[in-house]
Amino acid sequence: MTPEFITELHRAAEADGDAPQPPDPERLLALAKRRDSRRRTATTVGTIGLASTVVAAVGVGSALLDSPAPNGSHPKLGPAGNDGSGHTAQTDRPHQTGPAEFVSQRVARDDVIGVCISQLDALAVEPRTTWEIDPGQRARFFYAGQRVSFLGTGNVSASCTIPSGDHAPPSRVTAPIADESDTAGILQQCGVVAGFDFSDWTVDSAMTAADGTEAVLSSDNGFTAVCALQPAGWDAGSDQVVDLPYLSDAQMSRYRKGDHYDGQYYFVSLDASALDIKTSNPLSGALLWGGITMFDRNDDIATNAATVTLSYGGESITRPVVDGHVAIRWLLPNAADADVAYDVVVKDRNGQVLASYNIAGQN
Amino acid sequence: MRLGHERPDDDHYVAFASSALVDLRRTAYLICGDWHRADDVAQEALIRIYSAWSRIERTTGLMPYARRTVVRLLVDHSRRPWRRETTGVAVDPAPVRDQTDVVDNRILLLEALAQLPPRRRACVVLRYFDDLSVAETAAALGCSEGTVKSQTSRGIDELRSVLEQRGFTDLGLLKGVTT
Repeated sequence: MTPEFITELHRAAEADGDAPQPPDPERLLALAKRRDSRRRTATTVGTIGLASTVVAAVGVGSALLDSPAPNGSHPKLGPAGNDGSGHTAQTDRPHQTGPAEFVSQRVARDDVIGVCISQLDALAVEPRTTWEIDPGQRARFFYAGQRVSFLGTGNVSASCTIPSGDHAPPSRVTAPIADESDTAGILQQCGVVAGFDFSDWTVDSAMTAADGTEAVLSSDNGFTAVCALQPAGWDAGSDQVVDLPYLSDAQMSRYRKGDHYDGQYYFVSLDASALDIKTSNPLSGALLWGGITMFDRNDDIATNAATVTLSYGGESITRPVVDGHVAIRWLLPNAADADVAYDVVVKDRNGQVLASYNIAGQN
Repeated sequence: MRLGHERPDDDHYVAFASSALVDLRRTAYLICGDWHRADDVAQEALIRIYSAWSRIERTTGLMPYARRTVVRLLVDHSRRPWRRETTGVAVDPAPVRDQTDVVDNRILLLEALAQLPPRRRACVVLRYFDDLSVAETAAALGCSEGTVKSQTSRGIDELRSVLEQRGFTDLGLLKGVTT
């Protein structure tokens, strides 16, 4: 390699005169402690988790949300009348135009406080505080169903789930988590968490393990939502999560076929949690969980995939794949931590291997 | 399994964050082309380290873990669609070039990097900016060493092509770059 090329790379990265001030390490320490504290002592008030913490992960998600969509523009999924400028009205929210016809909707930053204020007011923080979006979240747009962190005067913080439709406000499930066989229960409980009516949606895949259920839900017009339900207190702030989509599966496919996409096929990327960081549970080991939409080598939805088998440490599970979708929640009691490199084998209906790889490196 | 004394003392954490932050945000910037986003992921990586400090220090190592987290947040799939499918990269607005044909290598290079697919771009940045070995890059990206080699090679080829298309005259810049 030439020193000149390396020099130019360093020049490019170090010419940060136009860059914002970097985060203050002392503030990072405070944020880290707050996050740590939140994990250990969750305090939840209604639909809003109020704690002396800021969920920085939301900031990252938001920042990435702000990345351009294919062709450099944000996805224009709004209903007729939305000019795609992002200056959506406060009432523009994801909704269903007919039975399970989902329309995603983004919410401009300036409108987020308006749609969240009722949730924030419900906290009845005294003395009265003025809320602002955590400056760490720099996105210009948010999406309904997304959690947004707010800071208030007096060093208080809260997260608000942007309301998603004309359904009841987002809330938490306090009843026992619905089992994988309880389709109606899953749709109802995922709806409670998202504040969205999933009753006309389909449960493509669901799996129950370790007292929780992971599910992949689909609408009639090809949108996919991922729902993770765990007993309250398992992991403060992320024990019950619904990811509403903003791209349909078909749009995802077109996106992947774009010039700048370098995605992997038949990819089963799961979140992993070391159970020792969970609160209020007696389990140890690791938990792999996620709702997957698989794509084939042509970046089409992997409708030819019939099963996926995961293996780790002598254990394995096989899950059916439905229309490219599979939900997985796999408890690994013997895993030392969450850094689990598992094997994946995806097969078609004839048992032919479509893909075989270790999650640390796809073949 | 709960390990005791996972958290660092404040001084250790701040010292590490101070030194790591500079490199992490620069790496992130080269990969994503956006200082704000670079700050976000660098900050997130350092926050994640805190609660499992001892384990990370004992196993992966603090800086490799932080770098891997940055790369994965920027590049890898995740369960949330907006992270899982993020690909497009917008370089911060380039300064208007003057009219004297003076080519700003820095801007051209950033623009050319932005043309690469994310994982390929990350390979180039980790190999040549962070000076990681093939094995270290593979660990950061969670892929095989063979993938790193092929992606880096293709990335350099594409960089060369893009720079040439843009009339970049200093063709020696990438001459002899090997993967």
